[in-house]
Amino acid sequence: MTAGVPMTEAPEQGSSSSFVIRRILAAFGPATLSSGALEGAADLAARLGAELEALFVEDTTLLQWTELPFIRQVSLHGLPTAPISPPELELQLRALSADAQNRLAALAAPRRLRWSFRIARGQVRGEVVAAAMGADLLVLGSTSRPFGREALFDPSVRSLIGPVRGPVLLLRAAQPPHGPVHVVIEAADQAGRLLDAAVMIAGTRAAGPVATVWVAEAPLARKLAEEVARARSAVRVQRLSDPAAHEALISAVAGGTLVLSARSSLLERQTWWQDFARGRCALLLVRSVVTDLQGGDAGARD
Amino acid sequence: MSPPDPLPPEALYRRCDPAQFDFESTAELAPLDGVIGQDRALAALRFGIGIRHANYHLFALGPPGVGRHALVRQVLEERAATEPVPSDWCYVHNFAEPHRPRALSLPAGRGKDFRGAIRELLDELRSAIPAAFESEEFRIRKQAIEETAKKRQEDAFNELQEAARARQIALLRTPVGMILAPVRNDEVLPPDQFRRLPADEQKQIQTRIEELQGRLEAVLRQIPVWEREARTQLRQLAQDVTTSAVRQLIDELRGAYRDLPSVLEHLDAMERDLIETADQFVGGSMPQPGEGGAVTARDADRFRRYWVNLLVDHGSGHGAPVVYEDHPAVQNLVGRIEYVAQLGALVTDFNLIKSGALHRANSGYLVLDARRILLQPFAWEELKRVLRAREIRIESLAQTLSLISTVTLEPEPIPLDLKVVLVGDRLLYYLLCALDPDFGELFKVPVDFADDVGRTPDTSRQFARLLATIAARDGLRPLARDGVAQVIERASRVVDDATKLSLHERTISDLVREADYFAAENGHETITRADVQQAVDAQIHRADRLRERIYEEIRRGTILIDTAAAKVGQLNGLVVSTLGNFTFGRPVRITARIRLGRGQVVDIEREVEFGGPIHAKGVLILQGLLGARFAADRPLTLHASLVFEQSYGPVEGDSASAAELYALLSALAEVPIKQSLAVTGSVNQHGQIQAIGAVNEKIEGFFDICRAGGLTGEQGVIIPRANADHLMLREDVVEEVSKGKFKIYAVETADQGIELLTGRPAGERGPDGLYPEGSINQLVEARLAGMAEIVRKFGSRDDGGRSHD
Repeated sequence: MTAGVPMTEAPEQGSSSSFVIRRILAAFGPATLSSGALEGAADLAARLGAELEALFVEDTTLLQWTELPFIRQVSLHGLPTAPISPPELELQLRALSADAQNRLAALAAPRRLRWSFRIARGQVRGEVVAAAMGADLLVLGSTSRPFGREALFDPSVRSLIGPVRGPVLLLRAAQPPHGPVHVVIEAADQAGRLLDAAVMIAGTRAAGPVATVWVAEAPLARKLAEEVARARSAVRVQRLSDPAAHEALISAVAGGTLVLSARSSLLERQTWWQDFARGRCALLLVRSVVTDLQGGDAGARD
Repeated sequence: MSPPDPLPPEALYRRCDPAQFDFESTAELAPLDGVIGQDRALAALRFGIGIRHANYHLFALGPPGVGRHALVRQVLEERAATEPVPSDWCYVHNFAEPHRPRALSLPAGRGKDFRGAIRELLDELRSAIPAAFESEEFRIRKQAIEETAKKRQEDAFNELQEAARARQIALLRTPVGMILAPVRNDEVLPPDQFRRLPADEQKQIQTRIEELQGRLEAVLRQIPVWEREARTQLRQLAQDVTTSAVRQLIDELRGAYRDLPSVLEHLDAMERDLIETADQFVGGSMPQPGEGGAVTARDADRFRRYWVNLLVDHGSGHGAPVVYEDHPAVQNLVGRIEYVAQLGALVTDFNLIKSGALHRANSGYLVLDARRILLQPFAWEELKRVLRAREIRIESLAQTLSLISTVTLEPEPIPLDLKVVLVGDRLLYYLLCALDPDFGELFKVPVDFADDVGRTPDTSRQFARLLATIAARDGLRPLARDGVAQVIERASRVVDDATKLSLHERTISDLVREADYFAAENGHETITRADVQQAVDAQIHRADRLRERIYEEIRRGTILIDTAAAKVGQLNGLVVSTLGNFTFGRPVRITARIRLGRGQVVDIEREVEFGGPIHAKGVLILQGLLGARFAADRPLTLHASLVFEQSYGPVEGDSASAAELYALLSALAEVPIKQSLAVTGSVNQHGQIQAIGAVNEKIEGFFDICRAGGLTGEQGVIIPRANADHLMLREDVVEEVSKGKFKIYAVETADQGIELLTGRPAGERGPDGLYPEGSINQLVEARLAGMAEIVRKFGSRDDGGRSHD
């Protein structure tokens, strides 16, 4: 899963798949996309033969707030709390973006990856959503912080998920997804696209279980079991006895990727996010092409 | 006293009769089981070794080649074999003071066992400790601690976030920290909207932000504390796990070494260290020892301090050690601390401590060459310091001299109890006695080796066994008994004494080896007299190029030597030259000239600083002798000058003083001296002739010159009577003497000598106090009296015009 596919090889994306990724957007800000997540994005782009575009957003709101005299920057590294001016913050942002660009260049070279790096200044959500319009997949990183677990998808990050039309892959800072792929299917109309996404992430259609499907409703489970038994030998169906048992699910996905519909009821639950934060997996949120576009912002609410 | 007759041929060479031996060759003889003629040295050695008090170290003095090293080693090894095998010594890490490695003493052989046991222990720990850390129990307990710590932080941060949310404040990340900003409808309030808020509301928001900022700072401050607590808990957990893995293994070692408290103490410290540093085993695989004993950097970092540096291993020893250190540099004596370069710096640890000869010889015997240790910088002082302190303290010389500045060690000193035997020349011993006050305090036992031994039937037989031993030891042919006799005769010649045998074993061994070579060339089964003589001749031939050159110059008249006729104030003295190991004699013309003077005999050699002090002393004795004998009651008014003609180098010794006296007497008496005779001998103020050295070489030197010009039967050499016993002349000399072609006279007094040289009586004072008319002494006295009278007349004429006080 980790080895990149040379660009000369055809990517493993069958023409019948509804999930074709040619352009990946990795969005950066001061709080997102650490080196581990960046490596995961580079790996995925290399494997899919996709182009990787990196976007670093200089948050104007953040810059404007530093104009206020009572604003202090609390250091995460034990330095004294001190006022911070816009030029000072700009310098920090510039240093951060330069570092990110260097890291991306270092990751791209051995993978023979097509990549670009862009810096935009504006509102984070607006810039990312606008940039994501031209991409087949948006990759966001978790927020790292010096205490406890990384704050996966804090409100500022989660607020990006809704407006974006395409799939969104949320990667952890220190753990690119290399492990098992699990899919949660809650409705029959989601099944095809979610399974395509799972296979895409798993990187193969060969025999053997590449994805485990968790199905909430028993009839649907039976139906899917019959269907996938005919068409997708690589898929194993397993019933999620109780959607509330998501803790067990997250534990099972440890080190891998969980594929969810962007309309999943799981995302509505605050406790799910807390359990998810404790887990060790990436999250791929997939929209059904028509429904989700019509449905608009279906997920990622606190 | 009338002049003596020439010495008979049999007095010129003391033969060793092979018939005295009851063997045909040395193959029949048992090897010599002791030494010849070194009773004094042997007794001193045994005394020095036997006395166990401190500072009774030994100095074996004597010339090189007399077997000092061999005898010392033989006696030491005999003694050492009866003594217990000393302890092994190890250096181990000092866990309390790492720069001061600890020295551990273990019974012989157990040092290696201990090192092996520690190696095995470490091998066990390499698997046991990781296994303990990979156990389910450890993993769960560790995870619980980490989870607790993370939850603590999360709870604090979530609480803060809840508080912020309740106050409609958001936490925003910056590249290096966080700032707080107000929120409206889940969106961060843009600053321009904030500015449009009423002042009171702005103030409230600002207050809320400041309050939350304080809480955030408090949480951030607390995090390192929680993390430290978590680390402490993890460390304690690691220690608990390590203890369970380590204790049982170390307890087994404790059982094996329960009789050695110092080892137990070290094991306790090692166990504590393993447990205290247990966290080094957490979070990584354990290093494996490198192939072929090589040490990887990680392995070295973690485990080197537990190793055992076996400094001295007596596991395979029998008895006390006898060590000879032939390169007694400081580091070879007291050991050294080596360094390795790491990242451009020189570093070391106790594993790099290397033993010295003192460590290896501790509780035994150390043999050193005195000259070599004195030539090594600082070695002599270091040896004395160690012997005085009675402990071996390893200090880097470079550190002592401040040549390098790096982290070094101060290894715990090791108690020292040994005997040191220095082997050196006599001169070194006497110089050290005179100049080094410490020497006498530390080296109280001189072991004085004899150069020679009396030549008796008994010692001759022992000598034959010595030759048998040499032949057997060096794989040579046995010596036939006539070969033995010839070597014995040569041994007398080497010491220039017919009554002695040289104990210079190296010279004897060389001769036997070389004779063996010629025996092989000659196809002999045994080494015969002819082979030995051939070896002697070959030795001389290899070395006598310069002698031949001088003889040639004499024959050609370049160097003026007369061997016939008679001359006034001129005679042939004899000198010896030593070039390398070869000594030869040759004649030298000595002349004397007389004039009026103030009683002064001038030694021209001395005046030009060619003559040494002994030579000058001899000339001054002449002056005393002349004054006392011939001018006791009147001034000695001569001025005599003496010179070694055609001598262009230093002259030392008084062996020509008799010759100089004869030249003076001849010049004073105006009686010619026979140039067919040469003279050697020193004279005292009473006119007695005293012994000199190298009498054989001197006689042979003059003989060779005379033979080259044709022996007349008149030629010969006058030697001191006291040297008669030293004669071991060449066979050809003896042969010509027996034919009456050459003569050797041994005289006791100068009068005997002058009579032989002039053919006139020397003369003794009669009852009237006068010498007989026409005798040499009468002529000399008359001449001196005449000179005194002339001087007196000169003196009265000079005084005529002067006033006296």
